[in-house]
Amino acid sequence: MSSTTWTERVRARIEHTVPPGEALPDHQPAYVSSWIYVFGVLTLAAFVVIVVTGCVLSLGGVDWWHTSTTGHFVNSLHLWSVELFFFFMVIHLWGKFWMAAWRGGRALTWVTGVVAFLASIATAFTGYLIQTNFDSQWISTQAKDGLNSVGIGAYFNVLNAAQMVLFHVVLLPIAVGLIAVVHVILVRRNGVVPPIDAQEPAA
Amino acid sequence: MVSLVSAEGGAGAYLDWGVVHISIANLLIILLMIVVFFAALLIPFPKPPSEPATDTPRGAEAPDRAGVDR
Repeated sequence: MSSTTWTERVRARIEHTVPPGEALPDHQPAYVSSWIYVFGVLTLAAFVVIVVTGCVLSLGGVDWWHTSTTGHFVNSLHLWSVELFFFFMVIHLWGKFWMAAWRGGRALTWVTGVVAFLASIATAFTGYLIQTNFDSQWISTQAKDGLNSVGIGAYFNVLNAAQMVLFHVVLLPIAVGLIAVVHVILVRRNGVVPPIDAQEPAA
Repeated sequence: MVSLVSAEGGAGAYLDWGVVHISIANLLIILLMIVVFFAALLIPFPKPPSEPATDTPRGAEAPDRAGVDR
Protein backbone atom coordinates (compact mmCIF):
# COMPACT_ATOMS: atom_id res chain seq x y z
CA MET A 1 0.00 0.00 0.00
CA SER A 2 1.42 3.36 -0.93
CA SER A 3 1.92 6.05 1.71
CA THR A 4 -0.83 8.63 1.72
CA THR A 5 0.22 11.12 4.38
CA TRP A 6 3.39 13.16 4.54
CA THR A 7 4.30 11.63 7.91
CA GLU A 8 4.10 8.14 6.42
CA ARG A 9 6.22 9.22 3.48
CA VAL A 10 8.84 10.84 5.75
CA ARG A 11 8.89 7.77 8.00
CA ALA A 12 9.31 5.47 5.00
CA ARG A 13 12.09 7.70 3.67
CA ILE A 14 13.93 7.62 7.00
CA GLU A 15 13.50 3.84 7.30
CA HIS A 16 14.86 3.28 3.79
CA THR A 17 17.78 5.73 4.05
CA VAL A 18 19.97 3.24 5.89
CA PRO A 19 19.47 -0.56 5.66
CA PRO A 20 17.91 -2.10 8.80
CA GLY A 21 20.52 -2.70 11.52
CA GLU A 22 23.22 -0.65 9.79
CA ALA A 23 22.55 2.72 11.44
CA LEU A 24 24.32 1.76 14.67
CA PRO A 25 25.80 -1.67 13.92
CA ASP A 26 27.41 -3.90 16.55
CA HIS A 27 29.32 -5.93 13.95
CA GLN A 28 31.65 -4.86 11.18
CA PRO A 29 33.48 -6.77 8.43
CA ALA A 30 36.75 -8.31 9.65
CA TYR A 31 38.90 -5.90 7.64
CA VAL A 32 37.60 -3.02 9.80
CA SER A 33 39.77 -4.46 12.59
CA SER A 34 42.53 -1.92 11.87
CA TRP A 35 43.52 1.33 13.56
CA ILE A 36 43.26 3.19 10.27
CA TYR A 37 39.46 2.83 10.48
CA VAL A 38 39.17 4.69 13.80
CA PHE A 39 40.17 8.16 12.58
CA GLY A 40 36.74 9.05 11.19
CA VAL A 41 35.03 8.53 14.53
CA LEU A 42 37.93 10.26 16.32
CA THR A 43 37.26 13.27 14.09
CA LEU A 44 33.59 13.16 15.06
CA ALA A 45 34.50 12.92 18.76
CA ALA A 46 36.76 15.96 18.45
CA PHE A 47 33.94 17.79 16.66
CA VAL A 48 31.59 17.13 19.59
CA VAL A 49 34.16 18.60 22.02
CA ILE A 50 34.57 21.62 19.72
CA VAL A 51 30.82 22.27 19.66
CA VAL A 52 30.39 21.85 23.41
CA THR A 53 33.37 24.08 24.33
CA GLY A 54 32.26 26.59 21.69
CA CYS A 55 28.81 26.78 23.30
CA VAL A 56 30.44 27.38 26.71
CA LEU A 57 32.65 30.11 25.23
CA SER A 58 29.64 31.80 23.67
CA LEU A 59 27.90 31.81 27.07
CA GLY A 60 30.90 33.46 28.76
CA GLY A 61 31.78 35.94 26.04
CA VAL A 62 35.03 37.65 25.03
CA ASP A 63 35.76 39.20 28.44
CA TRP A 64 35.41 35.83 30.10
CA TRP A 65 37.74 33.85 27.83
CA HIS A 66 40.39 36.61 27.91
CA THR A 67 40.45 37.37 31.63
CA SER A 68 39.10 34.38 33.58
CA THR A 69 41.30 31.35 34.26
CA THR A 70 38.30 29.09 33.63
CA GLY A 71 37.65 31.00 30.42
CA HIS A 72 41.28 30.49 29.38
CA PHE A 73 40.94 26.80 30.11
CA VAL A 74 37.78 26.39 28.03
CA ASN A 75 39.36 28.49 25.28
CA SER A 76 42.34 26.13 25.29
CA LEU A 77 40.04 23.10 25.21
CA HIS A 78 38.35 24.64 22.16
CA LEU A 79 41.69 25.30 20.44
CA TRP A 80 43.22 21.90 21.14
CA SER A 81 40.08 20.00 20.17
CA VAL A 82 40.28 21.85 16.84
CA GLU A 83 43.95 20.84 16.51
CA LEU A 84 42.99 17.21 17.16
CA PHE A 85 40.00 17.50 14.82
CA PHE A 86 42.24 18.44 11.89
CA PHE A 87 44.96 15.99 12.98
CA PHE A 88 42.49 13.09 12.91
CA MET A 89 40.64 14.35 9.83
CA VAL A 90 43.79 14.58 7.72
CA ILE A 91 44.92 11.08 8.72
CA HIS A 92 41.36 9.88 7.92
CA LEU A 93 41.73 11.63 4.53
CA TRP A 94 45.10 9.98 3.83
CA GLY A 95 43.75 6.56 4.78
CA LYS A 96 40.69 6.92 2.56
CA PHE A 97 42.68 8.40 -0.33
CA TRP A 98 45.18 5.51 -0.44
CA MET A 99 42.28 3.08 -0.03
CA ALA A 100 40.50 4.71 -3.02
CA ALA A 101 37.44 5.07 -0.78
CA TRP A 102 35.25 6.31 -3.63
CA ARG A 103 35.02 2.73 -4.96
CA GLY A 104 31.78 0.73 -4.89
CA GLY A 105 29.34 3.59 -5.38
CA ARG A 106 30.88 5.70 -2.62
CA ALA A 107 31.66 8.78 -4.76
CA LEU A 108 29.15 10.93 -2.88
CA THR A 109 30.64 9.81 0.45
CA TRP A 110 34.06 10.97 -0.76
CA VAL A 111 32.68 14.28 -2.08
CA THR A 112 30.80 15.07 1.14
CA GLY A 113 34.05 14.38 3.02
CA VAL A 114 35.90 16.84 0.79
CA VAL A 115 33.19 19.48 1.29
CA ALA A 116 33.24 18.88 5.06
CA PHE A 117 37.03 19.36 5.03
CA LEU A 118 36.76 22.66 3.12
CA ALA A 119 33.91 23.93 5.32
CA SER A 120 35.96 23.00 8.40
CA ILE A 121 38.89 25.06 7.13
CA ALA A 122 36.58 28.06 6.66
CA THR A 123 35.17 27.55 10.15
CA ALA A 124 38.62 27.35 11.71
CA PHE A 125 39.71 30.44 9.76
CA THR A 126 36.79 32.51 11.07
CA GLY A 127 37.70 31.25 14.55
CA TYR A 128 41.14 32.81 14.15
CA LEU A 129 39.42 36.06 13.13
CA ILE A 130 37.32 36.33 16.30
CA GLN A 131 40.03 35.74 18.89
CA THR A 132 39.83 39.51 19.57
CA ASN A 133 43.58 39.94 19.92
CA PHE A 134 46.47 41.22 17.79
CA ASP A 135 46.77 37.83 16.14
CA SER A 136 43.22 38.06 14.78
CA GLN A 137 43.86 41.64 13.57
CA TRP A 138 46.95 40.52 11.66
CA ILE A 139 45.26 37.46 10.15
CA SER A 140 42.13 39.40 9.11
CA THR A 141 44.08 42.17 7.35
CA GLN A 142 46.24 39.64 5.52
CA ALA A 143 43.19 37.53 4.61
CA LYS A 144 41.31 40.61 3.39
CA ASP A 145 44.02 41.28 0.78
CA GLY A 146 44.16 37.62 -0.19
CA LEU A 147 40.39 37.25 -0.58
CA ASN A 148 40.11 40.52 -2.52
CA SER A 149 42.88 39.39 -4.87
CA VAL A 150 40.86 36.31 -5.85
CA GLY A 151 37.67 38.32 -6.32
CA ILE A 152 35.47 37.08 -3.48
CA GLY A 153 36.06 39.92 -1.02
CA ALA A 154 32.84 41.67 -2.05
CA TYR A 155 30.62 38.95 -0.59
CA PHE A 156 31.84 39.16 3.00
CA ASN A 157 34.23 41.30 5.03
CA VAL A 158 36.76 39.49 7.17
CA LEU A 159 37.50 42.77 8.96
CA ASN A 160 33.89 42.89 10.18
CA ALA A 161 34.19 41.09 13.52
CA ALA A 162 30.42 40.86 14.07
CA GLN A 163 29.89 39.21 10.68
CA MET A 164 32.76 36.79 11.32
CA VAL A 165 31.40 35.90 14.78
CA LEU A 166 28.09 34.89 13.23
CA PHE A 167 29.85 33.00 10.45
CA HIS A 168 31.89 31.14 13.07
CA VAL A 169 29.24 30.32 15.66
CA VAL A 170 26.15 29.85 13.46
CA LEU A 171 26.51 29.57 9.69
CA LEU A 172 29.66 27.48 9.24
CA PRO A 173 29.24 25.08 12.21
CA ILE A 174 25.71 24.28 11.01
CA ALA A 175 27.11 23.65 7.52
CA VAL A 176 29.88 21.39 8.85
CA GLY A 177 27.44 19.55 11.12
CA LEU A 178 24.89 18.93 8.35
CA ILE A 179 27.54 17.78 5.88
CA ALA A 180 29.00 15.49 8.54
CA VAL A 181 25.55 13.98 9.18
CA VAL A 182 25.08 13.31 5.45
CA HIS A 183 28.63 11.88 5.28
CA VAL A 184 27.96 9.48 8.18
CA ILE A 185 24.57 8.45 6.76
CA LEU A 186 26.26 7.64 3.44
CA VAL A 187 28.95 5.61 5.24
CA ARG A 188 26.28 3.65 7.11
CA ARG A 189 24.21 3.27 3.93
CA ASN A 190 27.07 1.92 1.78
CA GLY A 191 29.24 0.38 4.51
CA VAL A 192 32.88 1.23 5.15
CA VAL A 193 35.12 0.80 2.16
CA PRO A 194 37.09 -2.47 2.13
CA PRO A 195 40.84 -2.60 1.52
CA ILE A 196 41.64 -2.88 -2.19
CA ASP A 197 42.44 -6.60 -2.02
CA ALA A 198 39.55 -7.53 0.29
CA GLN A 199 36.19 -9.00 -0.59
CA GLU A 200 33.27 -6.78 0.35
CA PRO A 201 30.53 -8.41 2.46
CA ALA A 202 27.18 -9.03 0.84
CA ALA A 203 24.67 -6.31 1.74
CA MET B 1 69.65 25.44 0.38
CA VAL B 2 67.89 24.78 3.68
CA SER B 3 68.22 27.41 6.36
CA LEU B 4 66.83 27.83 9.83
CA VAL B 5 65.71 31.32 10.83
CA SER B 6 64.29 32.71 14.06
CA ALA B 7 61.46 35.22 13.86
CA GLU B 8 61.75 38.50 15.73
CA GLY B 9 59.90 38.79 19.02
CA GLY B 10 60.20 35.10 19.84
CA ALA B 11 57.53 34.04 17.36
CA GLY B 12 59.27 30.72 16.74
CA ALA B 13 61.83 29.25 14.40
CA TYR B 14 61.19 28.74 10.71
CA LEU B 15 62.67 26.50 8.08
CA ASP B 16 63.39 28.11 4.71
CA TRP B 17 63.85 25.88 1.68
CA GLY B 18 63.25 27.66 -1.63
CA VAL B 19 59.59 28.63 -1.75
CA VAL B 20 58.89 26.53 1.33
CA HIS B 21 58.67 28.57 4.55
CA ILE B 22 57.36 26.57 7.48
CA SER B 23 57.56 26.88 11.25
CA ILE B 24 59.38 24.12 13.08
CA ALA B 25 56.24 23.52 15.17
CA ASN B 26 54.08 22.93 12.08
CA LEU B 27 56.77 20.75 10.51
CA LEU B 28 56.93 18.58 13.64
CA ILE B 29 53.13 18.21 13.69
CA ILE B 30 53.11 17.10 10.04
CA LEU B 31 55.89 14.60 10.76
CA LEU B 32 53.93 13.33 13.78
CA MET B 33 50.84 12.86 11.58
CA ILE B 34 52.88 10.80 9.12
CA VAL B 35 54.21 8.68 12.00
CA VAL B 36 50.68 8.15 13.39
CA PHE B 37 49.39 7.28 9.91
CA PHE B 38 51.96 4.51 9.42
CA ALA B 39 51.56 3.35 13.02
CA ALA B 40 47.80 2.97 12.40
CA LEU B 41 48.57 0.79 9.38
CA LEU B 42 51.23 -1.35 11.07
CA ILE B 43 50.16 -1.77 14.72
CA PRO B 44 47.73 -4.72 15.08
CA PHE B 45 44.25 -3.86 16.25
CA PRO B 46 43.37 -5.67 19.51
CA LYS B 47 40.99 -8.56 19.05
CA PRO B 48 37.95 -8.91 21.34
CA PRO B 49 38.58 -11.45 24.16
CA SER B 50 35.85 -13.82 22.96
CA GLU B 51 37.27 -14.10 19.47
CA PRO B 52 39.94 -16.79 18.97
CA ALA B 53 43.09 -15.56 17.26
CA THR B 54 43.47 -16.85 13.70
CA ASP B 55 46.08 -16.54 11.01
CA THR B 56 43.48 -15.82 8.36
CA PRO B 57 44.62 -13.01 6.07
CA ARG B 58 42.69 -9.75 6.28
CA GLY B 59 39.64 -9.70 4.05
CA ALA B 60 39.71 -13.44 3.41
CA GLU B 61 36.81 -14.20 5.75
CA ALA B 62 33.40 -15.34 4.63
CA PRO B 63 31.55 -12.52 2.91
CA ASP B 64 29.02 -11.78 5.61
CA ARG B 65 28.64 -9.21 8.34
CA ALA B 66 29.86 -11.59 11.06
CA GLY B 67 33.16 -9.88 11.59
CA VAL B 68 34.46 -8.27 14.73
CA ASP B 69 32.48 -6.78 17.56
CA ARG B 70 32.57 -3.01 17.76
